[in-house]
Amino acid sequence: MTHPTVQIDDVIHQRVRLGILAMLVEADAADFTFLRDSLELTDGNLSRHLQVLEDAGLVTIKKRFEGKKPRTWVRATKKGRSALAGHLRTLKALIDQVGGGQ
Amino acid sequence: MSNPTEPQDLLAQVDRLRSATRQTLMLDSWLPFLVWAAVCFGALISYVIPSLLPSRPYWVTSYYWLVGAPAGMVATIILGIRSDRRRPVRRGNWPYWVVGSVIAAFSFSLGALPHPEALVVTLVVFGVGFAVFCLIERRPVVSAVLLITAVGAGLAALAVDDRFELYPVLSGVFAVILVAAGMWDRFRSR
Repeated sequence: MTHPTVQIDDVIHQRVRLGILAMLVEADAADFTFLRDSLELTDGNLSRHLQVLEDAGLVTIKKRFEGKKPRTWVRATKKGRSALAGHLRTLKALIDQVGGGQ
Repeated sequence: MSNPTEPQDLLAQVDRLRSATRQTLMLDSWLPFLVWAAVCFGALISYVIPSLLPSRPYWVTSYYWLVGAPAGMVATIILGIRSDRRRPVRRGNWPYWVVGSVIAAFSFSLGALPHPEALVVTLVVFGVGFAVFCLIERRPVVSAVLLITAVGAGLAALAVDDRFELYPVLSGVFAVILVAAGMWDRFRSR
């Protein structure tokens, strides 16, 4: 049987990116500032992580004006949602394996 | 934000963030409860006032839902759009459109029928519809209370002879449940 660690995707496994995806799967879209404040990040730091997720096709980013305010909305793609679900399954399998081995 | 590396800690962090997002999505979600509680209270008033008048104009009671259902629907939509603009997280609204349209359509068409049974059935449909809405909104307790009340209303309608007398009681019961659910929601989202 394949060890669960083999299935770990480094793009998602990083704690901030995992947090971003976890928040996005609960909602249809999340505001950039909401993600930044919830994850306690700087603008630059969050942008960098979002770029990695966007390059991997896990999120989409849309900037638009609402009234006079520019807002950036982030959405999880279908691929992002299933990637997170798969990753959570892997983490649980890992915990079970380690727990079973003790 | 903490810096977990262990799988258990990562999963705990995921749960925490998902719960915080759900909490944010729930901001202002108590408003539809109060809107529809007001509609139910209006149904009660539409029975009480004609019963006090000498001419007993009960047509007001029968036709109440023709005004009450669309008014409740419009108020819910306006409040929904306003709170959507305020919230930093958004979600697809289609389940609410489906449930809301079904409730409004049934209330509108059944409420217009000139039979006491139709008015009670309107409330039963309303209760079941709102129970579905609460289930989508992840409020299983309120959903169960509404469903039990709706089923109880249906059974009571079969058991009693004067269903017209049952109507104001049910309207009042639904109004109280929805006010309680709305206030509880407001308290939780603070």
